[in-house]
Amino acid sequence: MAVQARPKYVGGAVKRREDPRLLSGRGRYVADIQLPRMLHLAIVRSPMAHATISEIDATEALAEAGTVAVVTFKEIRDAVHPLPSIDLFPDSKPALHTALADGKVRYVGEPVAAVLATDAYAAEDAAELVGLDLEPLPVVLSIDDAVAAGAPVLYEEFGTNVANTIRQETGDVAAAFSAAAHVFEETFTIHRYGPVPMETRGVVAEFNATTGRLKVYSSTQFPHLLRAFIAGTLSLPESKVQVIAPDVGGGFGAKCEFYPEEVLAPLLAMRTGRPVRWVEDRREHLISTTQAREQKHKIKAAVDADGTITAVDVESWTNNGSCMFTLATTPASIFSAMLRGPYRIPNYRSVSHSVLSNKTPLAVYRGAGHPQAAFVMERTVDIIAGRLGIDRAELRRRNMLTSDELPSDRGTEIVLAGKVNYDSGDYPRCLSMALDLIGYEAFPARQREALRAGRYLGLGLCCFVEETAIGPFESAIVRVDGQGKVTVLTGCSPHGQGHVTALSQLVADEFEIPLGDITVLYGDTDLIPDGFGTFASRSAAIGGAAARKAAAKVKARAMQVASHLLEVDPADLEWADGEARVKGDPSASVSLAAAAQAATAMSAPLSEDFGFHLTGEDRFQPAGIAFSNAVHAVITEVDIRTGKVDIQKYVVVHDCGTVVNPIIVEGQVHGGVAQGIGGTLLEEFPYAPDGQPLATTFMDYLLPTVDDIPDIVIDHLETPTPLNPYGMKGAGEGGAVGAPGCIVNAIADALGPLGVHLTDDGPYSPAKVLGLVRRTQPGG
Amino acid sequence: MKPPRFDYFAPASAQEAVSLLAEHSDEARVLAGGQSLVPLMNMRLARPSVLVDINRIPGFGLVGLDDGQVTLGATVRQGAALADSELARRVPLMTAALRHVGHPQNRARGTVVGSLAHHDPAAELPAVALALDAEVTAASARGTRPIPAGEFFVAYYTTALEPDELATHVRFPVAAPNTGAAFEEFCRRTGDFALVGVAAQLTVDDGHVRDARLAFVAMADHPIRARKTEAALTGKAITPQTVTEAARLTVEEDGLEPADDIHAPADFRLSVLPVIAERAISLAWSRATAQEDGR
Amino acid sequence: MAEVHKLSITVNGEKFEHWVPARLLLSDFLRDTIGLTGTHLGCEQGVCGSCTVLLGGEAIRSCLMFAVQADGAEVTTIEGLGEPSQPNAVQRAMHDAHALQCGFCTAGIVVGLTGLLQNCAHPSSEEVLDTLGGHLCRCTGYVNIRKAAAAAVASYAAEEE
Repeated sequence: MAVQARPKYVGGAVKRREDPRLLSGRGRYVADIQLPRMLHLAIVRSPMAHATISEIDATEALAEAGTVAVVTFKEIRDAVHPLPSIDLFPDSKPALHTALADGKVRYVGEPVAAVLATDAYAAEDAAELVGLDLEPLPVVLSIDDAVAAGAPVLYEEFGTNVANTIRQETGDVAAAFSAAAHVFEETFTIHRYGPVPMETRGVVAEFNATTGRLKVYSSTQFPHLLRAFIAGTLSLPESKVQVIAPDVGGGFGAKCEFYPEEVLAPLLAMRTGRPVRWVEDRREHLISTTQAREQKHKIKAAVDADGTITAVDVESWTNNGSCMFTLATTPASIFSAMLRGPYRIPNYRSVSHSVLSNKTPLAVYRGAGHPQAAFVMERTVDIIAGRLGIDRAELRRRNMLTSDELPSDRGTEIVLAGKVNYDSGDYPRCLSMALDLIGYEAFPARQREALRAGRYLGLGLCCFVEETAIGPFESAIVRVDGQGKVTVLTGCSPHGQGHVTALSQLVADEFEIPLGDITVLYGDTDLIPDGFGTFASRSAAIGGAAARKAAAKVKARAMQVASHLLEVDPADLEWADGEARVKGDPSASVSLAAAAQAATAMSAPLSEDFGFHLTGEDRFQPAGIAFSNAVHAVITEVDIRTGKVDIQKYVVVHDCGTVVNPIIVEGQVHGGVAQGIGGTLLEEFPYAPDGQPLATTFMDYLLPTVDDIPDIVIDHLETPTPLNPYGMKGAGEGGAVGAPGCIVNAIADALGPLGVHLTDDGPYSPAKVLGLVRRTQPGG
Repeated sequence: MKPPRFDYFAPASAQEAVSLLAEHSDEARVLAGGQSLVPLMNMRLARPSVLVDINRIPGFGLVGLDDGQVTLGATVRQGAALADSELARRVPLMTAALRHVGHPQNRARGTVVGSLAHHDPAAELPAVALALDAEVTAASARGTRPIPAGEFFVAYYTTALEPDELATHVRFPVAAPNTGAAFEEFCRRTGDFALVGVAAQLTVDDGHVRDARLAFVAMADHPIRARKTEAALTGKAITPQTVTEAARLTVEEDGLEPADDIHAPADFRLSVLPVIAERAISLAWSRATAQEDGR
Repeated sequence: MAEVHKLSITVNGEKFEHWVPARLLLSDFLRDTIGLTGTHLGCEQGVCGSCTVLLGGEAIRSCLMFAVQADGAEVTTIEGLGEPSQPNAVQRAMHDAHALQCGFCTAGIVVGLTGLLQNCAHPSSEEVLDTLGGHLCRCTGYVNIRKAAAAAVASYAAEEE
């Protein structure tokens, strides 16, 4: 009788285990935590972009009945170190954020004082009453102004606003330019927008005087790193700090940073002996949570007569805002390392500066430096194709690395992550699939016909390669209890990515047990010895691999136990359906439950080196970065009477290696594309000349709504990575990487007949587009 | 973002409400739907020390259907008004505009009269009131007075209501037979406040426009009645050509001072106004002629 | 001494009586005073929809109402709709369609769509989009939320027959 093969979970469209709880309002986010005698923290923030602080007057605030304390820098100076940045280079200027402003403020929104009160309403009342006496200093906002000679300098001790410069070079750029048939030069600008998750930040801190330990709940993406940061800034041993990431309502990079409130609340909990809660409101979020993207790039490309791009030379600037925040050089570094995307371009030079200005600190956001790199490279390719009269897709094909050429050492590096060595992928095939799905061949005829009817359609492409699944490692512990139920402790920190489901699938397949037998725990540093958190598309791949490896260890242990119990040689055993069985005699078996019971401390240990429980621990430390890739293609229509850009069709063909759960991966693509569309058509953080942020509410910062995002056509390849035991790469960010490039390319294509030349990434508001159109018209 | 402290009253009668306003005057604000006022209070941009909640006054929630006019009390919800088929027949321009007012979750609480009294210059209903020559009834301890729409809308968030006055009703004339109404707006996202909006109503007689009413949203700090454009449409049989010509006139109306803000500069609004006007006029025309043809 | 007002309110079928300051928002009353934290605060400005509850069966933004205004009213929050083991049609549809990721905006959408379907058994797709338009989601990109809404409408219609 043929035995039915047990269907695998991995690769299946398994519905999420996280959902029932969240759908019924049983999530527990940081603002939902209520502790007895809890105090509420409100932050007094600088109303000016650049000023010295003459006086802070707390008298009126303290007179309010609900106020418990008002604290400024002088009260915390000796207790709190500046907030560290973890991606600085040896020669970076350490322009670090302090927990409260030290005599000077450098952006609107910078924390100046902390107010504790009996409830959130009273805290806000008191914060309003704190008097700030500020002497304005000249404000510098743009990259150009910040690097200009004689610019106002944010940190006198450094004498410059350039905090860091990265240099990377490979091949012989000078020779390539001398030999080039054509040289193209462009300057591209990238605007400022940001992650803006639906849940704002928040912290609840509690101090246990008996154990001398802090317990800190924070809406964070990396509890273990946060523990290290809190302990470090407060000069406490790490073992005295416990960090718990509860349910987190989205992060996208905004929450893998370390913020002043995350050290102020714990400090004040220690000082008052009462739990302290801080919940960010939306206005605060839009001015004091990290923003992203803003860069400028001057690029030169050397091109042969047949369109082969032989060299790229680029100088870049990132507007880091007022300081070097936790992940400060990463956007610049990723841009610098990844600009060439899937193209050979064997000669390359990049100089990339991180620049300080009186804006909110800038850090990482879904994709980090990749969206900018994909935008700049893909605009450049379209411009070259246009000038040389070569088809855009053909030009890309000519320059693309083929799968035979991989692995390919690109000669660049990404800070913290390591060398850029493309591991696997089939870039040309992804491109062909995308071209097919978008209808590339038929499009020119459609476009001409539309133009005859006065309608402007455009098609845009964006091909990119993306760093994912970075180390240094992730860890997992797998335990089996006496009933055979499995617990997985992971260092991942999911905030919407469905890791509980994905990790359950991996572990369930390893043991061949039902999904429901597995519990995945995460987020609590006391429970989980170490971990790095969820960002940079690493968790399913690295954390998942660690979990499955740990499960494999446990399975091997269970087999050992079984061989003892059944008195057979381990070689005579096989594993199936959650149990060890004697080959050829399936009735002679030991289940996970039985193995666990035999291995508990209640029994005599089976052997000296076995240990007391059916448990296993492993790490997965990738030998290198795994690179996912994708092609985005879009058709847009531009209404030249109103400037409105309508997305008619959006296609993504992506390759993230072995897919654990296709519906989760597709969900990540949808979400990323939506953020990319938002960033390209709607979202912006503009500043007035005096440094006042102009988008401080959801009326001004326009997030895309259901009407702004079309259905997205997705197809994929699976090119497993040799760098992961299960072939997995990362999938979380790609959606946001490809959208700006393909949408702007499509707008440029649509407005091509009008001679419009696009070198910025938007946002392409109707007003901007109409302005572009009008300037091409007589008298415009 | 939590609101500052205030004293709260929920009067049970209009009389009680107006005497509270008489007593507290400049310090008091009226709370109806709250969809505009409460966000401002949460952001601490509006800080009334007294809030007079009129939601419990019986009679304020009534819709009066008389010959020739429709009366909406102060707490008639936008959602209820939109769903009311009698109102759709009699005041089609208001129904057309209500579809663009926020989303159902706002319209469930927001009121028609409240939107007029709040007078956000990018709001849809003030332009409707102006186009239709509606009349607002203002009540105070001193009595009641009618305020025609033409005098009601003064400037941003400012109406002709005195600090001690409460808008208790708005009256709209009932549309004549063979009338078509349309409301078109241009926004960054569906449901947002308008960057540019046009309310258009045409009454047709024997294939020609007998009565044309046109008003603009967000083209000044109050709605603008487009008299020149109306004159150009009156008496005409509307063709695509007349629509285009009329639309061109829209930018020449008196008093246009569109805002310059982070969503759009002034010249953008002026560029888009004729496009939106074309759409509104064409649609109003096709609806009016459909009526005349008995469709 | 802050003035307080008597509030008698029924939430998810349960009667509550409290003395509340006038300025206490309905959203904060639900979350902090009676501990129903399933209703979330995403903006306190009436834009994001995370705070959506049913007032007398109609979806409203609880951050734009003072608790005291709900005296005598019946409010339904997410906690009053379905349960993990017994989801309602909207919850089931959202689970099936992978229409949630971080879950923060989810309760508001479940309440909003449930309110719509309870009041209007056969909403048009425009009406559904109009309701969804009042909810911001940053994770899903809305694609699956639209699918879930369509499925929920269909299953309500089927249940009716």
